[in-house]
Amino acid sequence: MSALSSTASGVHGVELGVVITVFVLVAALGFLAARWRRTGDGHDLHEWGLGGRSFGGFITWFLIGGDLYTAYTFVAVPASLFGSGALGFFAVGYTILVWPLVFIFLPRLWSVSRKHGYVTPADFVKGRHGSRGLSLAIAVTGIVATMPYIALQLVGIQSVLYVMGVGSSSSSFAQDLPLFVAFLILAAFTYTSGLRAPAMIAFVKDLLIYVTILVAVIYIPTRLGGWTHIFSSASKRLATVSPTTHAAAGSTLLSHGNTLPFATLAIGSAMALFMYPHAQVGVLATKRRSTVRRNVSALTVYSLMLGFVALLGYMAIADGFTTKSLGNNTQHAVPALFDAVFPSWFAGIALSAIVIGALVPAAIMSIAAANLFTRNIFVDYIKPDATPAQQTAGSKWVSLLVKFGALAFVLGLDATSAINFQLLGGVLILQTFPAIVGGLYTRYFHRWALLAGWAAGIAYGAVVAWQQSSATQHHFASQVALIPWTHQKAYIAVTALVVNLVVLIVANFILRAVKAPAGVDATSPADYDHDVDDEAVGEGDEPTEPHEVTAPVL
Amino acid sequence: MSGGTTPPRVLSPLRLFATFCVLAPTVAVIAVPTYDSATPKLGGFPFFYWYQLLWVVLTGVLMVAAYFAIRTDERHRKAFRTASPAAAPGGGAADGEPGPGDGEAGR
Repeated sequence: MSALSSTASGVHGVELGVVITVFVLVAALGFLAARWRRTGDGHDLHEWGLGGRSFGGFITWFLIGGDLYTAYTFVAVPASLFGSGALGFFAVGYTILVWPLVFIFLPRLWSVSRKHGYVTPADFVKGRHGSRGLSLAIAVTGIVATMPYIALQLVGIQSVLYVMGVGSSSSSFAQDLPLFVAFLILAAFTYTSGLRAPAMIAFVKDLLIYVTILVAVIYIPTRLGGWTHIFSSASKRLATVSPTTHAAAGSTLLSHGNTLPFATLAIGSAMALFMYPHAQVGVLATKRRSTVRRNVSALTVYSLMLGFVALLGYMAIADGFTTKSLGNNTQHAVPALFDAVFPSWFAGIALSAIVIGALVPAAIMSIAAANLFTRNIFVDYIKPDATPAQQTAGSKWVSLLVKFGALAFVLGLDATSAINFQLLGGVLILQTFPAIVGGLYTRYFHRWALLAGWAAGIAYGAVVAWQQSSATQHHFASQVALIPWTHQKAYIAVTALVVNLVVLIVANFILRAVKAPAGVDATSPADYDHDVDDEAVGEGDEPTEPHEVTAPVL
Repeated sequence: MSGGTTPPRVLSPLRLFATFCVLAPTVAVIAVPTYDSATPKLGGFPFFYWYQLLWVVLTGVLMVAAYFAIRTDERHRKAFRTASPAAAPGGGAADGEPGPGDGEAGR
C-alpha cells in the first residue's frame, strides 16, 4: 500500500515548491489588500478591524466561510473520524444547526451594532446591560478562547510541513523555522491591511479548497475501490480491539451511549460558533442587514464540503494508514493521504489549500481578539480618552501579540495539548451565550445574574474538562463527560451551559426581588431592526444609495 | 409586540412558514436515533451519512425559502404602514406613531 512510502523521509521537493509559490502569491495579495475598497479614514478601527463595514454578499460569503473552514475543520475533523468513527461526524450536524441559528439572531446583532457603532460582542453587552464588569468577562473569555484556536491553525500548518518532510511535530526551534517564517509574514500583512487581507485571500483559499475537495471526493474513492469499500474497511479497522485500551476504537455508527454526546456536541458547537469574536467580525463587516440572511443558504455549500472533508478520515483508513504510520499523530491523516494518493504537483496544490486555509482564519481571529482587547480592556480600563487612531494602533499591535502568543503556545506545548485547549475554548465561549443572545431579545436578566451564571458555567466546565483522563493523557482527554448523578455522557460545554442557566435564573430571581440596580440600557427596541436605509436622514455619515427593500426582523 | 394595528397579524402565514423552515433542520438533526442506521444504503454510503449530507442540501433550500418569506412579509407590513394613515383616516389613530421599524419584538 502507498501508506508505506509516505512516512516523512526526506523533503518532498515538488510539493514544497508548489506550496511556497502559492504562499508567496497569497502574501503579495495580503499586502496589496490594504488599498482595496478603501472608503474612509485608515486610522479608524471600523476601517482596519471591520473592513469599513462595507462588505456585500459576495465577499461576506467568502469571509464567513473563512471562519467555518479552518485548518481545524480540514485536519482535526477527519482525524477524529480516522480515530473514533461516527462520533466525529457530529461536525456535519453542527454545521447544519448553525445556519438556522444565524438566520434567527445575527440580523438583530448586526442592527444594534450598526446603530451604536459596536465593534465587538463585548461592546454590545456593555451597552445593553450597562455593565463594564460583564463586558470585561465577555472580552476576556473571547480572547482566551480564541488564542488556542489560532494555535490550532498553526498545528494544521505544522502537519503539512511534517508530511512534506520539513519541520517536525516536536518542538525544536530550527525545525520549526518554516512555521515561524510563515507566521511572520501573516502577522505583517494583517498588521498593514487589517480585515481586508483575509477577505481578499479568502477568494484564493476557497478556490484551492474547492478544487482540492472536488478532486479528492471523485478521484480518491475511484482509486481506493469505491465508497462501499471505504466504509467497510473503516468499519473493520475501527472495530479492531486495541491492545492498550482493550476496547474498540469506535464504529461507523454511533455505539450505545453515544447518541447524546453526538447530539450535544452538534448543538453546543453550533451555539458556540457565533459566540467566537472572529465569527462575529465577518457578520459585522457586512454593509446591509439583509446580507447575512441572504447569505445563509449559500453558506450551506461549506457544510456540504465539510461533510466530504470529514470522510477523508475514512479514506485514509482505506488507504492503509494506521495511527502508527502517521507518526502517532492522527492529525497527519489528511495531509498524509493527499501526499500518498495524488501526483506530487497536485498534492502540492492540496497541501497549500490546507496552509492557506489556516492563514485566513488565523488572521481574522487575531484581528477579532485585538479588537476585543482594545475596545473592552484598553479603552474601558486603561485609557478611556484614546482617540480612534490610538485605538487602531493599539489593535494592530495586539494582533501581533496575540499571534506570537499562539506561536509560543504551539512551540512550547505539543500538538495534542493545543487541541485540548481548543476544546476548553469551546466550553468557555459557550458560557457567553446567555449574555449575548439573551441580551438581543430581553432585558429580563439582571447583569449580575448573567455574570454569576457565566462564572458558574466557566468554573464547572473548566474543572470537568480538566478532570477527563485517558490511557495516554491525564487531563483534557475528552470533550464529553458524565452528567452529574447520571450514567449518561454529554458535551461538557452544554452541561456547563445548563449549570450557567440554573445559576442565572436563581440569581436573577433574587436580584430582582431585592431590586438590585439593573444598569442603564443604551439601546432601544427599534435599534434591533435598524438598517442602513434608516440612516439616510439621521446620523449616517456616508451616503447610502437608494436600494431595494431589505429583509426585516424575524 | 405592537398591539395596535389589526392587519397584518403578528403571526402571519408567511412568518409561520419561515419559522417552519428554520425549525425543520434543527429537529431533523437533533433526532439522532431516527437516522443512526447502516441501511438503507445509497451509493455505498450508510444511511447515517447520506441522510445528514442530504439535510445539508435541504437546509440550504429551506433557508432560501425562509429568506423570501420574510422579505415578502416585511414588504406587506411596510406597504401597510405607509398606506394605512391615508387610506383609513378614521382608524389611523392606532398606527399614528412615526418612525421606521415599529419595534416589533419578533421572536
